[in-house]
Amino acid sequence: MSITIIFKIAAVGILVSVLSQVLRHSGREEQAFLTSLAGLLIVLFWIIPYISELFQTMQELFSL
Amino acid sequence: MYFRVIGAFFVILASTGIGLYFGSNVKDRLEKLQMLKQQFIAIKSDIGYSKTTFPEAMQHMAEKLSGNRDCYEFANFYEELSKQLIERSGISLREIWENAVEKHLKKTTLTASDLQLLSSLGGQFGGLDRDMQLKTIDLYLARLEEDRILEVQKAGEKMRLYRTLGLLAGAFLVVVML
Repeated sequence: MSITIIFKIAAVGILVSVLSQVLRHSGREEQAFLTSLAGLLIVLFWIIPYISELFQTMQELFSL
Repeated sequence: MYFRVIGAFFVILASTGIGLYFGSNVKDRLEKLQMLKQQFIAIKSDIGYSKTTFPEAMQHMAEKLSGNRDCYEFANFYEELSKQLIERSGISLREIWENAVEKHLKKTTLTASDLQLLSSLGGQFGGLDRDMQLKTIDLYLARLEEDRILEVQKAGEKMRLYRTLGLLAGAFLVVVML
């Protein structure tokens, strides 16, 4: 796991919040919600392999 | 590394361009609504003061607009109307009007509601005398002006929104792809 993923997640978070604010300010609440959801899904897509790897390591470590 | 930076730059440029394009469509729609208003005022004067018939008024408008590159869709629209009406092919005015709107004005930046309002105007013209035609045009102009004023109020905000969205969406794509 490299450090760039943390920066990418931070950048996505900032961009999604700005996009969300801009859309909410223009009265497009639904699009703002969808943008936030899309950002969350993208970040989850990046994170889940690492979490899966973590659980596998834990399993191997404790011979479960 | 340099290729990534150049690629990112082009992605942001392209998405900002798309945002600017949608913003320019908003401005173009306002201009088209203003043109429609001026055209129907001219048609009203033609019918009311020069006592021309409806097909002739359409023909005059087509000739007036034919040299103008910005209005070529409208020129084609009036040309089609006058040609079909003069031919007297037995098709109703409503059908001729709706077909002409569908053929020539659908690809412009006018929205579906603008085209619907214009199409409904055609359905009301058939079978009316001169006074009623003028009143129908007055009613259409009043509704057009209402829509235009509403759009003018929202246009600035919409253009800013599309520009900002374009830029931010480009940045978002760059972060996701890098």
